[in-house]
Amino acid sequence: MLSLIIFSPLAFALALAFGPWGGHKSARRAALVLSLAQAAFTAWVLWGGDFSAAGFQLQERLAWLPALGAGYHVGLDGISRWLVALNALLLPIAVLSSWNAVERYPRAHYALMFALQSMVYGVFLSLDMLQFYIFWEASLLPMYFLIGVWGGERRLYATVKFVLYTLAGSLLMLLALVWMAFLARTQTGHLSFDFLDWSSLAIPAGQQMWLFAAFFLAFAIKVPLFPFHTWLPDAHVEAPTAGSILLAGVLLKLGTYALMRFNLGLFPEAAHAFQKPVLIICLIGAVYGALMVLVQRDFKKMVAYSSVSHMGLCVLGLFSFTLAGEQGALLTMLNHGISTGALFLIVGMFYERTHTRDLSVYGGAVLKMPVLGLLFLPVALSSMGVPGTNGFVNEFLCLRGAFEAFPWAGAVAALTVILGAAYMLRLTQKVMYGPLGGAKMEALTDITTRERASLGVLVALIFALGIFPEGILSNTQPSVQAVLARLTPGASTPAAPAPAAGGEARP
Amino acid sequence: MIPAYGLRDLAVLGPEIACILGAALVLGLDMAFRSQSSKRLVEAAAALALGVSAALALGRLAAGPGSAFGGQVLDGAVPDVFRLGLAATGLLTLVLARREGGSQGLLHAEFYALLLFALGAMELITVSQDLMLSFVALETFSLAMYVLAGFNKAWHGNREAALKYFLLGAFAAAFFVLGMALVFGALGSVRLDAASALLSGGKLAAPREMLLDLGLSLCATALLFKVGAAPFHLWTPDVYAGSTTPVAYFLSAGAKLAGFGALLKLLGAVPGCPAPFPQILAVLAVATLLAGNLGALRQTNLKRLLAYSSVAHTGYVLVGLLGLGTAGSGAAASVLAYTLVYAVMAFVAFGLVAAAEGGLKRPLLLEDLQGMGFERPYFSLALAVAMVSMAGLPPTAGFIVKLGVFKAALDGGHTLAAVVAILNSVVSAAVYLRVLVALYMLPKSPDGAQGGARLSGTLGFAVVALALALLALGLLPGSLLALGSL
Repeated sequence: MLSLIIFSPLAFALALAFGPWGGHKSARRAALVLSLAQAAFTAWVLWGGDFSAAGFQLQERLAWLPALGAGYHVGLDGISRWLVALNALLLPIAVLSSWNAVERYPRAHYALMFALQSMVYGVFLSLDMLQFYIFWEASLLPMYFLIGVWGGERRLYATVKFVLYTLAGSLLMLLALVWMAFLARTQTGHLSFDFLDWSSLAIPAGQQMWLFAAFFLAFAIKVPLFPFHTWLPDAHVEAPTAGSILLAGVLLKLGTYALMRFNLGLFPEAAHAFQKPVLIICLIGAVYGALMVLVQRDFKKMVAYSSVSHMGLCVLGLFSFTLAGEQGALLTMLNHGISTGALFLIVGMFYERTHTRDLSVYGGAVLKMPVLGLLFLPVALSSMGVPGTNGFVNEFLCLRGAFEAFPWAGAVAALTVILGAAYMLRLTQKVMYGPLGGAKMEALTDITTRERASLGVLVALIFALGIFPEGILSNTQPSVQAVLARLTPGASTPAAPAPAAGGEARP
Repeated sequence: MIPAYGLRDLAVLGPEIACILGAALVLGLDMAFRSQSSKRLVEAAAALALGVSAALALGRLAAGPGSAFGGQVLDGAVPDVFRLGLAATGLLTLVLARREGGSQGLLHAEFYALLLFALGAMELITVSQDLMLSFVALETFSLAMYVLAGFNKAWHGNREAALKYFLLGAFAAAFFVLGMALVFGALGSVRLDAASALLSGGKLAAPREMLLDLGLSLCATALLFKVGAAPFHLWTPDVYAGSTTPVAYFLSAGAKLAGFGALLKLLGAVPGCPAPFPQILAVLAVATLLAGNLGALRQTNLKRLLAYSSVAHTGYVLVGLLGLGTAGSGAAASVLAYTLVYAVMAFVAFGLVAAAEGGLKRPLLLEDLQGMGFERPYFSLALAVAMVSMAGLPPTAGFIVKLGVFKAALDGGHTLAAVVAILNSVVSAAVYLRVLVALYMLPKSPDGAQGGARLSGTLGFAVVALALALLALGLLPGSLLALGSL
């Protein structure tokens, strides 16, 4: 089942690329149908899992490279479940967003989006680390082409920077992966890349530091954490709308997901040693990102920097090592995907009409676009974290977690809430309200049914998750607690397989 | 006393003999039928000889290790796969020559004969246990390659290429002779098995052991020149750019297979490399990587770019070689797998260069590729696969073999070299991304070549099939990893 989730988009991508779709109209229709079918299938599979306990569901294993100790191994738990769902949800939205925007090489465009979706599923579901790495790296290529071919004017600079930055981090992780496989060989007698095998290894504290650092660098660049974030605004600004939605919506989550799963799950001692430095760079990133939003004059760059700020907060919760913080981080991954996805969608709607992202042109859009004005407000409120929207829940949980761990961290982080409100209100006011901006604003037309549908779904989710977050929190909790249990020194580890093997094999 | 050799001895050298007889046959056919139709006949004879050579190498692989001529020749699984790879490289060179040979003046019997002579000697050097024999093989294939490099005098920079290659090659050969002399001084013999026995037994007095080590390293230096390792790599861009495309491919892939086959023999004779040598090798590997990748970064001429890329790939193979002293690191297998996959990647790349430069009166530039991406989808996809594979990104064979060499280096304890090498991959990615940028992301250049780049005929088929193979081997690398169990 999980394999079908991973590989069906890849098959769809091939079908789109080489199938009989002549013009861009039939290509986009095919893409929409396929993406909806994919989402429906994924939802059906996810529904079937039992998430009342930690541990991986629906596991599938195949001997793939026995000589290297690497296999094909997938599994789903409470943490990956919702991220998989997010990935399924955002593809149809991204397809709808490029409905009219993409006329050059539409088949290739949609095919790449499906290929990207497939790779992202692969990352979330892999339990074999070599396989994980392959999906991780392979996810770069579709995005590279999406930005490079369909992007804005400085797309080449942005896309090459994006690939090289991400690659620089992940290649060191590859060495760490091989190192871990060797460690498995010294302790169990055979090479292994399997995550479940690795969880039961006793990793000497000194080596943990290096391994943690190599993993952390790879993931921190992806998230991106300050000071590794500079590729993100460039990539976002140059990306086509669909690229931005997928980049912010799911690609960044690869980093936070992997931090949670692997850095915290495999190297608990190193995680504790690195806790304070990581919290500090998260705080700097969250505040710095928010301040950067305030000074931007480019609509899309504002949203991009707000991502930097939000992701800083997310990792802050992650590294608080408290239940509230971890749950908040996980929820932030989902909610950020929804609300920032919606924001990029809105930026795209405006850009299609005005062909500019320069904020000085905007003003009073609500007069011309009342429906968009109505839908914009909840999105902005969610990004601010106003109660009643989903953004409030995750922000509150992250702050609470940080405060529990270190009161000073919570105090500084609270600053981002104020700054967040400041920049979102400024943005809303500048774009939506006030007098009409000028000729470009005069010519605005309200959003179409297609646009209403895609934005409406996201807005509905913003309220649904804001009012009833428990629906998600309750079935992520066992898995999150399992992660925490490994982090708590001395506590028994109920979720990890064969915990008893821990101490004795220490070389 | 002259030892008696028999057919059994000749059988071990079957693949080489097939090449040499093929060369003789080619020359004979050319003399017998001096007509236009003989061109096809000559080509068929050359292909047949290479096919037989490959089949015999396969037979030797199945038959297991065999020693011949009193131990001067020793084959085994790894050398046999090298011989198989060399014969296959020869066939691929024929495919390239078929496409480009006409316009580049290669369709002469001499071209095929030289190619076959070179391949015979290259195969020989991978099984030779005797430095004198190795030297003869080295010089035989080098001479053939000097002539091949200068085969088409009308081609831009061709004479410069041939002369440069010859002068530097002669210089490298001198290293080999000096090294051999030192080895003889230390042992009274130039046999690798003798060196190996004495070194592992520890029966050698310290000064003589030093002499032996020095001699072997000088021999290795000559081979490092052939594979284009820094600081002996400066000839590669000029020679590749000046040679015709089939020859450039043969220089890169064939010389790498032969050179690394010989290096494995040579270094395999030194059990547990003594202290400074692995370190020197590590420095060379890193220097080669830097020279290749940084050099490639600024190239606009595609052949020069591929030349620097070939240097960089030599660097990766050297990284794999670092694990050689460590049991179970799979170093030899990683070197073998990397060179074989390189031969395939390079074929796809050079094949597409050959397809694109058809009819062009100047070297192919990156800007000629601009705007091809969606206009020539299959050409571009094949080139993109080759570039992604050369960059070592999944899901391609390039990733798997790169993983293999890093694993070998880490197992050998060369963590620092592995880290530097892997960071070099970022630079190399920048190099290959430039090709992708030109293909897909830049508008058609007004000065660019128009109309070329058609994939057709044998070349088109081979290029597409091998590009697919690179993908397939990246996803199901079982057969590449099976090399580890040889």
